[in-house]
Amino acid sequence: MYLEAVNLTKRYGKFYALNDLNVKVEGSKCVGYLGPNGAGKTTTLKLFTSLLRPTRGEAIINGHSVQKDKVQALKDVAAVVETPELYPTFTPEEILQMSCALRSVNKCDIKHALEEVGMYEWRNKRVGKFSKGMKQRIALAAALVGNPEILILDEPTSGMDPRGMAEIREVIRNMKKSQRLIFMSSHLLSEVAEVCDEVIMIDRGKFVLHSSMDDVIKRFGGNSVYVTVLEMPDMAKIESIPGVKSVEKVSENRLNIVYEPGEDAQYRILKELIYAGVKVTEYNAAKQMLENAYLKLIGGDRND
Amino acid sequence: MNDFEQMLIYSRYQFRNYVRAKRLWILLLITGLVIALIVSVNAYFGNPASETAKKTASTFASFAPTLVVLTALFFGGDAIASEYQNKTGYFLLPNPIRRYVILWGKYLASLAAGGLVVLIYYLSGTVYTYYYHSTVPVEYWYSLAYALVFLVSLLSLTYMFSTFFKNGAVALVIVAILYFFVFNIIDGVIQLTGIEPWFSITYAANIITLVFQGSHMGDYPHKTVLHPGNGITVTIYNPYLWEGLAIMLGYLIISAIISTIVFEKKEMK
Repeated sequence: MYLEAVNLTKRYGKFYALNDLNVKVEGSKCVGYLGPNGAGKTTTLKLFTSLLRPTRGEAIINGHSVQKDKVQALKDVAAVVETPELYPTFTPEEILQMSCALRSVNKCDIKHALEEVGMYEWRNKRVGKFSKGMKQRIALAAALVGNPEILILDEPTSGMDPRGMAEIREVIRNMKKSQRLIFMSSHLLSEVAEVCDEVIMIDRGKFVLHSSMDDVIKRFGGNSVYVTVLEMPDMAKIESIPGVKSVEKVSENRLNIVYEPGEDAQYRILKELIYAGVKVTEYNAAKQMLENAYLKLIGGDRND
Repeated sequence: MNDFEQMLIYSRYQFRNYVRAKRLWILLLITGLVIALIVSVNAYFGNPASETAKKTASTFASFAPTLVVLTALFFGGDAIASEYQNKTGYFLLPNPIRRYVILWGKYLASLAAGGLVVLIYYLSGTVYTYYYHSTVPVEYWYSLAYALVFLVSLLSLTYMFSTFFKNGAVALVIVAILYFFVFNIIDGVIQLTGIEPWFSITYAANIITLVFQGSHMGDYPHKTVLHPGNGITVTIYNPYLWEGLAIMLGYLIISAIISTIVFEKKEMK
């Protein structure tokens, strides 16, 4: 299973929303698609789901061109693009039934799909008065219900409260377990770092980076981690830990520790912090590395 | 599953949506009010029992073209435009279905809902005519058939207009202006030119009521020239029955082709 953009270009007049994108994502994994506002993320997803027609190039899914053979290309694909509105007179159960029928899926576990997104108890209520977050969950359930090979998600946690966001991330993590390719755009770097195995970055419609999360960590690590703590510890005590080069307080409960190169040092510092009684609540290098990569490659002026 | 099966499935859901969204009920209420008006006005000012069955039936059929226009507006005016405006297209269009399947599935649902309204209206006319005359003239069934052909054709034209817009309300208002004003004005002005308005769908729809004229079907003048004075000549044309059907068929085919092409190329920006 794969998605491939070949010279994919979308132009509006003189403005290039997407300019010669060449990228291929393959296999069972989650690929995060990052870029600032107007970078061309949603345009790309719309081109892959036949909502837009490319000015040049092709969007290919499993060997089929979306533009030339939409039905075959999207046969094993489900997508949630933007926050789709659902027919307000239908219930979630009916929406999922309709989704199954339209996708010609025989085995539809509607109950499981609704339970997975936490909407089973709402199954018989009409969606007209649902909040944006609830509709987003139903749309996600409708995408899941046909058990597709490939999932295209456009900012899947958009419009959700923190609890909802955590639940949907859990759903995405679970989806990864069952041999799926998830191509997900997000404006949340932490979300991509938490959920995805690979990352693609674009800026102003142009390709910037396609790398595994491990490579991002290696390339953009800079030997520093952000540590979130419950109570701010004695800085001198942390500086005395072997391998630590410097410590900087970045907020009330957040520290930036620069250490000597190597993952060993990273492990040793965490161990020493715990041993010293520092109440660590977060120690996530990947998130920081991704942020570093993003800022180095794209810059923070149009931070998304 | 083939395209036609998918079309029928989508059509079924769309029809359910029409029923739940109350559009069908509102149109049925309007139809009921019109029926009540025709029956009460005729009972108060006329004497249906003393006129011929054909006359009674034609009185009922005279509102049919307007009802068909209303039906096309209700079920077709914003049918496609609303998918863009309400963003339901984001849910619908990324599915592995050809666009024309969605378009014509939706059309079938509109046709079913509209056809139901027209049939109920004509059924009321049947009961009304039968009540006074114990018979229903054959012309009435022809009128019903022509009204249904007009519905099929006008709905196709309405869908074509709906594919041009991305705002449901704008599509609805423009189509309403076209049907209630522009087409009628064109039909009126053209009478002064002496040209037969063979290109007008509302001209073709006249066969719904013309079928009742004369001693047998089609027994009416195709062209009447009037000289009301001041050197003005007014030429009134009546379409032949076959001509009316041909014009409606032409509208159906041309607008079906255009709407399919436009919807196929339309982007969800």
